[in-house]
Amino acid sequence: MRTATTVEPAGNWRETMEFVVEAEKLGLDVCFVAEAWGSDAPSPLGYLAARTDRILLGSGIIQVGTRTPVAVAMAALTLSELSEGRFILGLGSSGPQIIEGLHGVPFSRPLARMRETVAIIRQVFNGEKVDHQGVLFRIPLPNGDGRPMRLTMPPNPDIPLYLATLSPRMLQLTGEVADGWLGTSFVPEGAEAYFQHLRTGAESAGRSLADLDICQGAEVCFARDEVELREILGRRKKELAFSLGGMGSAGTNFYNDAYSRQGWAEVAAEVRTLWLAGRRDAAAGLVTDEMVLATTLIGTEEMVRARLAVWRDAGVTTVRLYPAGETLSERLETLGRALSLVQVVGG
Amino acid sequence: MLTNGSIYATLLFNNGFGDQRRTAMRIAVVPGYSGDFLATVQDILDYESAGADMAFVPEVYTFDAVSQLGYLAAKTERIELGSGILPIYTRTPSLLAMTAAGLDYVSGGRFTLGLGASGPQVIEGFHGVPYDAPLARTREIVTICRQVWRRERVVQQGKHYPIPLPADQGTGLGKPLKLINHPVRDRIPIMIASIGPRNVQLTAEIAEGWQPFFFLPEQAEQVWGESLAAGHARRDPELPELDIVVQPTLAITDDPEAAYDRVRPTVALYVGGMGARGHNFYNDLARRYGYEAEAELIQDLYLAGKKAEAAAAVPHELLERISLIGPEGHVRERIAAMRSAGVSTITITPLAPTRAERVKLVERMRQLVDEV
Repeated sequence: MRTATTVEPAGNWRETMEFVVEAEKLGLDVCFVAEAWGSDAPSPLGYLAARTDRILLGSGIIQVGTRTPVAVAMAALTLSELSEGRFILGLGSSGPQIIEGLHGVPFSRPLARMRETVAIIRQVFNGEKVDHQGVLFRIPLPNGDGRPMRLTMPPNPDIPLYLATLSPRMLQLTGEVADGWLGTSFVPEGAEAYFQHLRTGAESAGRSLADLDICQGAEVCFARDEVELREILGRRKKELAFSLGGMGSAGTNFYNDAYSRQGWAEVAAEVRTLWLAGRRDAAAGLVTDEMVLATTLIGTEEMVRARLAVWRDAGVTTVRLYPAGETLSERLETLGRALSLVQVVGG
Repeated sequence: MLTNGSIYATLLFNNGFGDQRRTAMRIAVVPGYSGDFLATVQDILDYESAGADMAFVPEVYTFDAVSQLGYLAAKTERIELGSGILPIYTRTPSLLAMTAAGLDYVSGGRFTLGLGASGPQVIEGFHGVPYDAPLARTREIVTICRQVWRRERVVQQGKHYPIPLPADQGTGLGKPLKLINHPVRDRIPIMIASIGPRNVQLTAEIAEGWQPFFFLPEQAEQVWGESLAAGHARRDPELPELDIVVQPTLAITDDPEAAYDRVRPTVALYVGGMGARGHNFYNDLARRYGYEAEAELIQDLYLAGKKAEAAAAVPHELLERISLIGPEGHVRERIAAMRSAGVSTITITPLAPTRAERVKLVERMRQLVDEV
């Protein structure tokens, strides 16, 4: 298994940057940069390209709909050039709250938007003149002055393109067109709920699931003993109750949907009802140990090692680690321990 | 140059412009396109040491400026960084704001957001986005950017960018949001590239910086004075003085003709070939500078495919006045003329075969500007 992490460009940038530089020294393979509420992703990725030598750098993720597909492709080609081939383009749909709420762009037809966006990006990567007459994008714009153009820079068809997707049809699209899948809220025991759709998509394009990098993330946190583990679980249950109950809107909550698909539909619905009724402690009380442990890498060193083996056996090829810790050195220490365990587990 | 009582002179006087305006003009560099970005980065590091105050990175249909600026933020220490320019049509206003906040964040507060309309060929032809209402869009974008940077919930009823998206236009799930993270500065300087009268007026009203094109100091008052004055009349007193950022071609040489000949094709391309007849802003500008017949001829030749003839038809006087080409004394005079016309930042592309010569050029430019 390869190892990865995700950083958010927020707070103390020097510390975040130092984390990435040190993580590279520890042997981490990939660093994704989120497009957080406070910064875009390409700015810090350009910065990190200058400060690192070996680690792969990915957008994790760039939100489609916030820039034109050609602008996404230009950023990807540039970041690949600046990092000397170390860039991975991660794309996601985000959600209507952000896309319509902050960007004022319709969230309608996310599947078609993603499909067309990827098709246009591939044209640009391949050095073709961009000519795309789709439902959501028409390039060149009809009846305008514009003629099909290509970038004046060298093509680069090899930039890996990953999609962050959860719903069945989006997963199929991922299997069909992407080089990798960025998942969240993953339970290895329930991986087939996702893999069946990824596989269907891959096979429709004459490929197989093995052609995709399966990149799954989880918090990694080491407990010294059972007592500390109970404390950690207590905190995480509250956070998970918020994700299940407080995220999204009345009609859509991707986390709730994801947990429901993994077999916790009933409890996820109850957590949501309680949370929305303002009974947050009661909501957290319903979250089981298993719901936290199954989706994370939390536990004693032995527990985490065992879970990593389960992840590997489930078909995860890149494990994205979110190391716990109050300080930079604590987070790096957690990361270092996790990297050693991944090495032990092999893959 | 500055006629007493003219609108432009009054404007400059009222704003404390003129020779006492700033202690020193700033020098910005925009690297020549070499295709080798890592070599360009080394150039900029040396220009920073040689006294350049700022570096601009363009974005047209090659590389993305934002990633390059992020890279430069990591390599440089002091030099200010600017996009020169980002087109307004290819990113949402909130993303432009997040991008500027991101670059300000990784550079420790050294970023200037240069914005411009770009042109219909690129925007419609390459991005598939209608090239419409550049002025109204620019005004809304600037308002949104500043709202985002102040960490207010973004709520706009603008015609072009209603935020959140009204329910009848989408899912209805959008709620007003604000940035979670604190930007380094709640006011990132915005520079607008503009040459049309109404666009220049808008720039003088709302922006921190103005980037005209083919700036001809002796004609600046006649061509832009009214627009600048009208914009300044509505300018928020909280805004700093308008930073006027020009980009003349620089060549300190005893053989100016050879250097002029290298500039001719570029001027011919813009005046002759950027946009169809009647839709070429640069052609209009050349006419307003007083080169009506010449502008028409250049366009006729260029559009007929006679690019070399079009280049040859570019008037020598125009080239001389918009550039910094000639012996050192002449260049010094032209810098003084620009300063008298209100220029506060001179952007140069140092062109020379070796890095050492390019750096030397920036050093000499620094001396000349400081002398003036």
